[in-house]
Amino acid sequence: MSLTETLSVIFSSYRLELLTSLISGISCGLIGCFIILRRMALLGDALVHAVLPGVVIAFMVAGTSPLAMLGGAIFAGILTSVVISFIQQNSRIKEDSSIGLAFTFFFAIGIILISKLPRGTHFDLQCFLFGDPLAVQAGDLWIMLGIGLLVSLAIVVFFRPLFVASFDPIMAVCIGLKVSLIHYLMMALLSATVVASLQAMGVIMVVAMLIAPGVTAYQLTDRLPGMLLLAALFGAMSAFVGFVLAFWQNWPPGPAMTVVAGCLFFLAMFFSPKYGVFFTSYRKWYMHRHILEEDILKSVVRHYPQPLALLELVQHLAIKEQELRHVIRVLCRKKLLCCSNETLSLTDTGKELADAILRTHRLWEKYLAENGVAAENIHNIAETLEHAHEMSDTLDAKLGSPTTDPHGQQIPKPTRRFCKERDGIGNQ
Amino acid sequence: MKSDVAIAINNLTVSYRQRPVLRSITAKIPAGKLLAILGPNGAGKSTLVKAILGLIPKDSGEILVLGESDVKKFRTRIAYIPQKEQIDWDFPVIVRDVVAMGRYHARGWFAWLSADDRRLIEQAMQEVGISDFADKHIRLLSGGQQQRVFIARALVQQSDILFMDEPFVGVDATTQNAIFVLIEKLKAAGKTIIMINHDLSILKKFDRLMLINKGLIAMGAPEEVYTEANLQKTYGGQMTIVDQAETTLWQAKL
Repeated sequence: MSLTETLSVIFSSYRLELLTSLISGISCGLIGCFIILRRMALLGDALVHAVLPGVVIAFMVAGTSPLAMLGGAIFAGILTSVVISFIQQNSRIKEDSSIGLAFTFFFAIGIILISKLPRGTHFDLQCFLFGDPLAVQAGDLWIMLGIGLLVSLAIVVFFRPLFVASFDPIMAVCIGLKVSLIHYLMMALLSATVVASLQAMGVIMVVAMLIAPGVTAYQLTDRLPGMLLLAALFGAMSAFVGFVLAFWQNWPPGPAMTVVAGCLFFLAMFFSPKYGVFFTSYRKWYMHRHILEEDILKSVVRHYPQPLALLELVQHLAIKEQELRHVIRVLCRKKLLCCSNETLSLTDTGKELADAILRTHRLWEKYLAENGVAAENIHNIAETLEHAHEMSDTLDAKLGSPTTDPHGQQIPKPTRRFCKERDGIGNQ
Repeated sequence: MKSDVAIAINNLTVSYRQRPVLRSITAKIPAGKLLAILGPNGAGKSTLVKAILGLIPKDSGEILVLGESDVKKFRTRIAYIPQKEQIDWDFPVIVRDVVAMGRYHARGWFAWLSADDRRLIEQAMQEVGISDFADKHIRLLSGGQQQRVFIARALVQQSDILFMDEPFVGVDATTQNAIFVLIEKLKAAGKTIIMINHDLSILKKFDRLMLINKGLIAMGAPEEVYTEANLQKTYGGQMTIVDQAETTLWQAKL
């Protein structure tokens, strides 16, 4: 089947199933943000498994009623988190171990219960673990829709309590918040989301959908509302693309969604403009290059008006000749430097820029000397600080526009044009 | 009429897992002053603060904050500035969001912040000198700026008492001085500042010292209580006879 055929089949005959997966992706993404920020990923994982006995008991009592299963799951979920806190508070066992103990215990009870189900009834453990989005029925969709709305609404209404309790629990208590209530509210929402998503993804993949969209969003934004919106978006995207892939390539749906979510995360991890590996390394490299360029210009202007031999610079800056030649070519292209017969001289613009650097350097030396830094150190410190040009005017004003530095050398007059133009570099 | 006692502690005893951490502390913390709580690790400094805030139960005793004995009522008048390592500095939150938290109590959990609230928030940031970073992520600030974010939050909270939990850990001398300048302003506005402090070299900056080690060793102006004898009692590491008895009892229970 081609992709377009797949899509048309999905949109004509599997709208219900697709919609259920989408909403469960969104709910998992939203609630997942708090799981991540409260460092409860392990607890979330545990809870997902521990709802099994609740679901099985509900199945025993009420048959396949989705509402009963939901109730059973929420009950089992909250009970598990109560048991985990109880173990922690009343023994020397720490959180991770008590989580590991409690959830396997409850999961095992669930499996034993399944084995004791009366003959003739069938509880699909396979479906519980791995999900089966195509077995979704209209009732499931309504429940998923209800829970999706409930989760979104709870997050909007309780945004501030959730926010403060996650960021600064002590302050939350001080301004009258019941932090433990918030914790159990989270657990209830989590259990509900998990159960509603079971049909579409199964317990194991639900964990992925709880964590992956949230951490992807976390790479891209600095504010919680933004993180929530992005997580919902990535949750929906993973569910949609995973669903389509599952149909198209005949993959199991839960893992397909998980793999899509994981790929989105790695994309964000590498290419997030602010925190991505790629751009942070680029910024580091850029800064290094920028400093090198400035150091070259400064060395040349110190010789001014005599030109400077290129090989002398190699020694002076202690870098590889190859790199130096490359940077010099760049500077020549920028029309800051002229290079002929292995000697360097400045163009007019190059001279102006170099003077600006020299000015910052000497101002810093002056400032450091006046603020009690030992004479033998000031040059080296100024060598680093000089690259922050935007500070030079502030410094100048602070020092009362001095004309000479501590070594008696002249401080060049401001060349405003370049301070402005090159502002922003070194702002990091 | 403002009372001149901010916090009155009467015979307070607090235990952790059946083991007394603080024993019958009685003290009056004066209003409008800067007080340092001093003591070695495990002396119960944080426990004392937590007990005052009602975060941990007390065995016995009474705490009156601004004349009010109901912890639920009085703790809203206390702003707590957490220790640096208690905060997740990667949390997706910008400076203005943190300061705005200080208005949540006055505005309620569900209402929008009003224009007045917004003005208060901007004002507080201005006052502590962090307006330029209002839209920056908290991770991007220096240690001193991070402290000031939380001081600004305490300001918009308009509380009468500020608790600062070891604010000078990992902060340089210049920043420390800048924070003391801010504290002077707060004192001038009638606020009481209580600081858990580890640094013995800055004690002259405080109005009152409270030396504790399981119990109250001494409390008063620095020049009165900062004596060799008191330091020996606080940091000397000797167990008092009561400590020994309690340890023996506790071990017997295990």
